[in-house]
Amino acid sequence: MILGFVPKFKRQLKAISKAQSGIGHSLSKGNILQRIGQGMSILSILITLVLEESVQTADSMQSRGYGLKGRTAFSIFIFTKRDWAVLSYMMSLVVYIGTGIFRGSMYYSYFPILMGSKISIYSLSVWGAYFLLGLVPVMLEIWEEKQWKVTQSNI
Amino acid sequence: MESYTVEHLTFTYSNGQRRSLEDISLKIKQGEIVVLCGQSGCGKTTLLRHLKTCLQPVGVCEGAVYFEGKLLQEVDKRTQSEKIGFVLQNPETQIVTDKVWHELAFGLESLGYSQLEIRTRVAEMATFFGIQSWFHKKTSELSGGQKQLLNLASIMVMQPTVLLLDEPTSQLDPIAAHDFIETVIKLNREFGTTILLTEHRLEEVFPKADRVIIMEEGHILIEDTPLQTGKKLYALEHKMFKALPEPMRIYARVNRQLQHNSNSQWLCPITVREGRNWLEAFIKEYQFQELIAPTQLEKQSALPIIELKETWFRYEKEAEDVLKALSLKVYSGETYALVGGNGTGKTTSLGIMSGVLKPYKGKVLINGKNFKQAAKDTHIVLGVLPQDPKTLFVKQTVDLELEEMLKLYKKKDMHDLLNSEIIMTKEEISEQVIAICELQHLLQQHPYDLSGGEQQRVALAKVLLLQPQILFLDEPTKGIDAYYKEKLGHILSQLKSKGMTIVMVSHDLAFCAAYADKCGMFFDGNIVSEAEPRKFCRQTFILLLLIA
Repeated sequence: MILGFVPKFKRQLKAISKAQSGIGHSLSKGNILQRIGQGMSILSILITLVLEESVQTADSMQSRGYGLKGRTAFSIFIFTKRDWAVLSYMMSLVVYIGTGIFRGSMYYSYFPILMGSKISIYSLSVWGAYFLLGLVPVMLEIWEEKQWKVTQSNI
Repeated sequence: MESYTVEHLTFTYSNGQRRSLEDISLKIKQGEIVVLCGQSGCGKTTLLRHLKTCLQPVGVCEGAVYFEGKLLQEVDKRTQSEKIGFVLQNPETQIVTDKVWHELAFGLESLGYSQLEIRTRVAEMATFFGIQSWFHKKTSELSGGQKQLLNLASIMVMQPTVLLLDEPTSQLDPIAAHDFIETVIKLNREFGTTILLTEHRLEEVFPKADRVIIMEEGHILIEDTPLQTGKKLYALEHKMFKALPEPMRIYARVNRQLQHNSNSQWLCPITVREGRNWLEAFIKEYQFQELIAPTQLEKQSALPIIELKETWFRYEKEAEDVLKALSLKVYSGETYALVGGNGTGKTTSLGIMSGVLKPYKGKVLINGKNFKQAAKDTHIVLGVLPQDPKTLFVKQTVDLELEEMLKLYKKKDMHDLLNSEIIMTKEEISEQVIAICELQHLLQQHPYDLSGGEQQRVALAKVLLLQPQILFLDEPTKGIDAYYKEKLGHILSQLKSKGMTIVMVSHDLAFCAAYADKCGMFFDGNIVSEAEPRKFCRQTFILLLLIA
């Protein structure tokens, strides 16, 4: 139920901002004060609409018996024999490992040595070039996104 | 056994001035299909809500309601939830969960059935309704018609004996509405469920109803079979007659013109098929003179006020194209109607024309200039009336709403809406708009307390206060009853006569044919045919299904 609210809100918000820009109260026009005012009015419309809708949803739930005692929960998944088997297998392993950690038999130590060439301006520049090379696909994606955003820019 | 017996029910809302229900008495038999109709505000929803305790409005109530022999007050909530199903108007708000299978199981979960029982019943209903293919989908991805069917299915899963439906198809497009009503009739035939429904669009339900109840201002005006109801309404010359199906109205008009006396046989056709048969028989009896339809003067090839040149649009980068090389011309002073099925891109093209959305390819020209230049040229203002008028309401009362619109335009030259030569003051302009939209008696009410038709007129008034040259209407007749449709049509004709360009998107072909100069049929992202209404209706055959 709660998961459903986010797309509902998003959808309503889109509808409201479209309607408002249709009568000339676009969010992307005017100075910052006007835009804040516009944003506030969109928010107030959103809250009113959502409140109204929630009354109807409450009616629908009441009408189908929500609030009665003895509510069960329906699950689309069925717990099969195989699920039980895997669960018991995993649980037994977890229990065994847990006791092992507790008794200290999982202790291990690792001490590696790192060696590298001397850090100089030249070596840093090579590392920098490698970084830029790795970023090439990222930069192309960003460029494409920007292109798409430009053609979609609001009025 | 009777499903419902209502005895002298009288009801007043807690802050209401007049009685919403006056001495209502009726009996509904098990297995009947009863249609309840009347103008907005006559009390049909109030009456329907009194038939289930948890939905009863707050107020002063007298009289009694009996459900299957027992006083409704004494029937416990569990039995009521199971046996009485209620479908509301808005398909979106009734859905509680995020997955279809969960929605179907919701009612049974609340009633405390076991997993196995729930599984069986859900499977049965899903098969009956044909939901198997979208059983695992998210509810937010469904279309309006599918959502309403899901609501119906999730109620039927509890196996009710009575189904109450409050304007279930008003938010749906005609094809989805047709499917929905067909399913409801099927339920009645196969399960014997008693059906009591409220409707404005009577074309579908009238032929199938066992009884029709017409309400007016809280009391029952007529209660009879569909055919007899038509006859009585015709005899009374009542304004509800306009809400009846087209074939009945045509028959009545012909009857009146030939001045048949009311004692002669009333063989009124109810369905289109009956109407056709009657008309064929009728033609053989009388001589007919061919009327030449008045041809419209060819518009000079002036510059179109709106022109779309091969526009392409999609909502997301990876999504499909919604508009494909759409080209369109609308001339100044013309009323253009875009018709087409659901999801074909009509609302999107309205968004493109009004500047709310921007195409990624192609041009949008207003008076020959693109949007940015047209914005500087202050003569062309666009106003959009959205599908949901509530998205425009920000204040507590209607007159505050209108004031709010005027506030933002105090610097501009205020001129008469219908004649830009005359300069008027703010008060005069607002008076003019209130007169055009007939809002005089609604000014002190909260916008959310108004009926659908009234809310739409308030939203239209707000848009008109922008003083637009071009008015865009998105589904103006959705959920509106016949009386308000006529009022709206009257307002549009007034605006048209003074030269306003109107572009509307609608499913209602009858409305478009009556008020538009040109109709364009939308399909697959483009306009496939465009003609004057008379020619258009002759060319398109399948679209007659869309007549609401």
